[in-house]
Amino acid sequence: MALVTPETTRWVAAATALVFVLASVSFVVPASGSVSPVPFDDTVKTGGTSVDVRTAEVEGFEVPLAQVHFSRYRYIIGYYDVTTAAADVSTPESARQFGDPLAVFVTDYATVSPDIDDDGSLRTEHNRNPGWTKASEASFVVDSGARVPSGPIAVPFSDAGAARSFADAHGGEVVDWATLRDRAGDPLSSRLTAFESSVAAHHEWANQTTAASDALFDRPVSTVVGEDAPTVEAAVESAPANTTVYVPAGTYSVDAVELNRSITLLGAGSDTRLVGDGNGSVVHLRAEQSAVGNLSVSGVGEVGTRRVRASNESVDWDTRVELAYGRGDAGIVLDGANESAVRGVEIDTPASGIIARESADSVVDGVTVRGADNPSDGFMGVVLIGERSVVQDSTFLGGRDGVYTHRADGSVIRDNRMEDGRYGVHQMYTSDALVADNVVRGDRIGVVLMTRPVGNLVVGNDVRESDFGFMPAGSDTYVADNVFAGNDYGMDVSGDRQVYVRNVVAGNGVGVRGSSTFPTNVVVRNDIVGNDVRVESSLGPMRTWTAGGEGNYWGDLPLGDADGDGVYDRAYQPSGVVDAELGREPGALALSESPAVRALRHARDAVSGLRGSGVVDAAPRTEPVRPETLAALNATEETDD
Amino acid sequence: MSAGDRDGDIGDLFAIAARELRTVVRTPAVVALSVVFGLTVVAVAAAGSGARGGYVPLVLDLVPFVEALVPLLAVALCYRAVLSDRESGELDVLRTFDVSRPAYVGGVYLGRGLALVFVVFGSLLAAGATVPVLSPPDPTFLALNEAADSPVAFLRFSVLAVLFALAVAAVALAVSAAARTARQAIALAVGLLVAFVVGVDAAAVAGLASGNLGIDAVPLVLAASPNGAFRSLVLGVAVETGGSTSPVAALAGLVGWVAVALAVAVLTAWRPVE
Amino acid sequence: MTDHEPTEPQTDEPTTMPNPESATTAETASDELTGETATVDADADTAAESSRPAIAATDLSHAFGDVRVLDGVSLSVAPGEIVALVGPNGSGKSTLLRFLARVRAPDEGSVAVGSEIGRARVGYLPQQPGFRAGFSAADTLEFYAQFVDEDVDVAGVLERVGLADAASRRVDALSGGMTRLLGLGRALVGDPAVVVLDEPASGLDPGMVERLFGIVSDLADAGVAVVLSSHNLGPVERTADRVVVLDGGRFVADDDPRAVVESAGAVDLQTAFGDLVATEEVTGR
Repeated sequence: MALVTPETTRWVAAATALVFVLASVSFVVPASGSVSPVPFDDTVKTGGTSVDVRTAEVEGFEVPLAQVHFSRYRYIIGYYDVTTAAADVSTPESARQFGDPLAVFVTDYATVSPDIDDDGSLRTEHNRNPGWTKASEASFVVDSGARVPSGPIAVPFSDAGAARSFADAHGGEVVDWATLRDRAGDPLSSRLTAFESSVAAHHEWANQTTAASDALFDRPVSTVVGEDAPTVEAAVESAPANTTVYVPAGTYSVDAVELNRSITLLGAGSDTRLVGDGNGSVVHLRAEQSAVGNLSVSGVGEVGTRRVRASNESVDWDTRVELAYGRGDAGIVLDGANESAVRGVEIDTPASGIIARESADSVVDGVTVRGADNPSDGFMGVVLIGERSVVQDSTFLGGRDGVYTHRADGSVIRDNRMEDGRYGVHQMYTSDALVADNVVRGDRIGVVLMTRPVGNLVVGNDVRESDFGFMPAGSDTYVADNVFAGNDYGMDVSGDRQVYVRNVVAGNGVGVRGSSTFPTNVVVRNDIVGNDVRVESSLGPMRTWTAGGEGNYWGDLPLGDADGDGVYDRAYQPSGVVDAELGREPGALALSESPAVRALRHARDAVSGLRGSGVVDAAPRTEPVRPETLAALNATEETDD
Repeated sequence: MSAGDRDGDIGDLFAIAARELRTVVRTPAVVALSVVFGLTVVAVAAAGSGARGGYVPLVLDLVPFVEALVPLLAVALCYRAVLSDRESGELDVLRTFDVSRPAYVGGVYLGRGLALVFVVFGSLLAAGATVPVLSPPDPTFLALNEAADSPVAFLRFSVLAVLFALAVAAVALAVSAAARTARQAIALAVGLLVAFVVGVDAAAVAGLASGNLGIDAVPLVLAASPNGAFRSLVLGVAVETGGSTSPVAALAGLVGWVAVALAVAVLTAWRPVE
Repeated sequence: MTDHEPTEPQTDEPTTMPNPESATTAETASDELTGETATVDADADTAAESSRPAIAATDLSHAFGDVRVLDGVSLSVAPGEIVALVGPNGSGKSTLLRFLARVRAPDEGSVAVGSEIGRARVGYLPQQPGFRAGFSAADTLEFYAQFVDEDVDVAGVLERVGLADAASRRVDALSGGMTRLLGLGRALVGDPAVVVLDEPASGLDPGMVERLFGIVSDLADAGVAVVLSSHNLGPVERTADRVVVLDGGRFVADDDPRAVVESAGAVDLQTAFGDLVATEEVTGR
């Protein structure tokens, strides 16, 4: 007879029953593994400000940390500063992105005798390493005076008695985790406030530095070339310090003009032409408070970068780059010339325009650099190496990169125009810089941040007709109020803990490219319209681009807003195969409402932290954030025919 | 030669079960539907982003499909089981062989249920097996959050899906026992399908909207339908997102459906003589 | 809702469509006949060897709604006795046979099989035997063989009913007559002491009919009590030990075939049957 006999049925039934008894053991086995603290280095870090973290690393003071084990994220989220964690863990966004917090661990200072030094920094006795304790069982001392550079911190203790004695010693109040969470403000708004004040501080510094350089161009004329000295070289040799060497209109063949004193080399305008011999750099500033202004420079050597002989094996790559990039030929070289300035100079160069090496507080203002027609032949418009400087109101045409920075932390690059080069602004190893209100046209990349910088500010720039609008690496970059339009790719959302607000990303081939591994970037209140592809996303888990109930404007979507609150009633997934076509292909709307797609969308919305890559906006806006900018761009999300 | 069976009701039950199992295997429509079910489940795993995210996202991706397709499969398997024996007169003949009602209904349920379990559990395991294949490799420089995702959650989900399938199968069996004509059976089966997949949820929503139902009562209302109970169990027990609602009501709901439906099937299979 | 008897008049005799009206008149007619024929227990008249009946039905009454199909009939069959139940379509033969097979319960009365009430198996061939499709004839009998306590020689049973060559044929590929023979085989599984056959010869060709009645005779010779209904009155007359004529819910005759024919003054059972139910036929139409 057949295989299926009552006897085999018995066996099969018994085996099946056994399988289900065994499978039902799964209800007894905990579905979740152990939840115990891990080394902070092994977490995905978020929260806090870069300044605090870096300063803490350098100076060795304590930043109380938190690590959160969420129910729906495969890694553990680490927060700099427990207050940030307290503010963030129970927001709808983190719940959406990561699930419920299963366990929160905070640094435990109960056994390491913490103290507060004169700066308000928290230090442990003999720099002992604190352990971890559960936040729900910890006591927190707030308002004790302990702080990190960006503000006061709460100090956690596993032992309530230890917390009280700390509070008795330093003042402040002891609260529990729930209270700390209640007290914590919106984590995003405090970050935005910090970023905005940092932007303002950078501008203020740049204004003061520029104003300080005004005096350099107000020095009395001591030497006039052609009258007091036969050549430019002779003039700068003979001029006394704190005076001006005046170069009347005319063409001067020069060979290595060296400013070794604090003098100012001033021309009559672009009719004063210094022409080098085509070898090496033309003008060198080697003294503090030296300056060049109102003239034009040409005849620069063709060497963009000089290979550094590998005499010393220990020389690492960035040092090589620094040496090589900093030693190429340039129209003007600043070398250790602190508080110096280049203003109103026009430079024609087959290599670099200006190289500022280790010249703190120097200013490049109102300069025009015409580089090589072919970017690969030329070199940088301005190279900043090692010190903080200002580059503003300048124009960079052709050549390779408009402004290239290397370890020039804190520099301000603003109100410049870059055209037809490789990169508009190119930062290497440069943190805490302000790149503001620059205009880039026809470059490969508008603004690119490389090599894991921290805390850069990229605001108000306008990049169009380029291959890529903006490409960041590193973390804690503030990307605000920029316009990326008509590029192949509008802006990249990559790196960690970056904040993207109020950008207009319009008419690009790909609007936004999400390529960060960890979902710690904030992307809200941007207008992302009229791009062929709204979002392209490959790496990392599903990211929620919503914060504090605010999302982005993706165009006029055919979705409902029943309560009229300016937010569409359902989450929008710009990277989804169906939603991506919403508002363009009529069929997409019908398909997007099919039970299967709805079911999948609903399921996907539930736990984005464990999803495959993609982007979801839980609160898509019905109205643009910057309608007048969009109107000026004439960028609207129109249905393709 | 066939060995006579002397195990009484239990022997009868397995004899009936084996016949049902063989019947199912030989019914092309049911086999086709099973294949469709299996392909759908695996396709959801492969096409959705769930499997790439882990077991829990896959569970959430699969819930709506399992909720719709499992009842369909269970009903297709069972809604005519008893009725076809009645229509052929075999129910009468079986009675002359002194087959008891519990043995008969139990055998039919066991046979059809085994087929259902194979298809549902097998398909889900196949879908679950895509997770390790499709998941991105874990970076070595980060600590993994072992609490976030686990195959245990998927196993729980699969067991619950089987329980859900068995509950709907029991109801379909009761339909087949109670119905006197094929038309009745189809009408009853379709009605129950709609009620389970849509009706009870809609009733709960309507009750909430009209204020006749407090939000506290929703878990109980949901537990009243196999679909609602299954969903509550998956969200509350398998993936532990619901958290707040007790799974007891939902579990009691599912088990209750099995018990009541089988009792109805036993009572309506035939009327005993003496 | 569990009661599906009301649908039975439709499936009972599918060749005709008895309507409730004629059945009602049949009942009236039978009332007139009750005086003529005393037909309660046939024990004393039969040639039964055993003092104990193999099956005994007592005072069976049944109605489908308002239609009374059985009105207090009793029937006792001895081991080895062949009782033929004849009567017009819709006269309640199938219903009575179902009661005897104990797959239905009458409104009133009881059926006893052998010594213990309600235990021993009665082999039963329904009027329209059906089988689950997809299984072979042998598979089908193997299936039923599992429900009896003895070992069953399935091949032997198939041989007995003339289906040895069709053992591996699927039941849904059998002809109507072969299906009926398989149903007979199924009724014989486990060698029951009582066999109830509802129209066993229907749809069989003449040769098969002869074979069927041969099997029935063999059964009786082996001591099996056989109750059958049939329209093939020729073989019935030759084979049956008793003929019971059911009309209007009552037995209008119950005797050995010769006696029935003689008492009706007819030449054969066919004619006698016509005479016996003529009143009903006339008044009915």
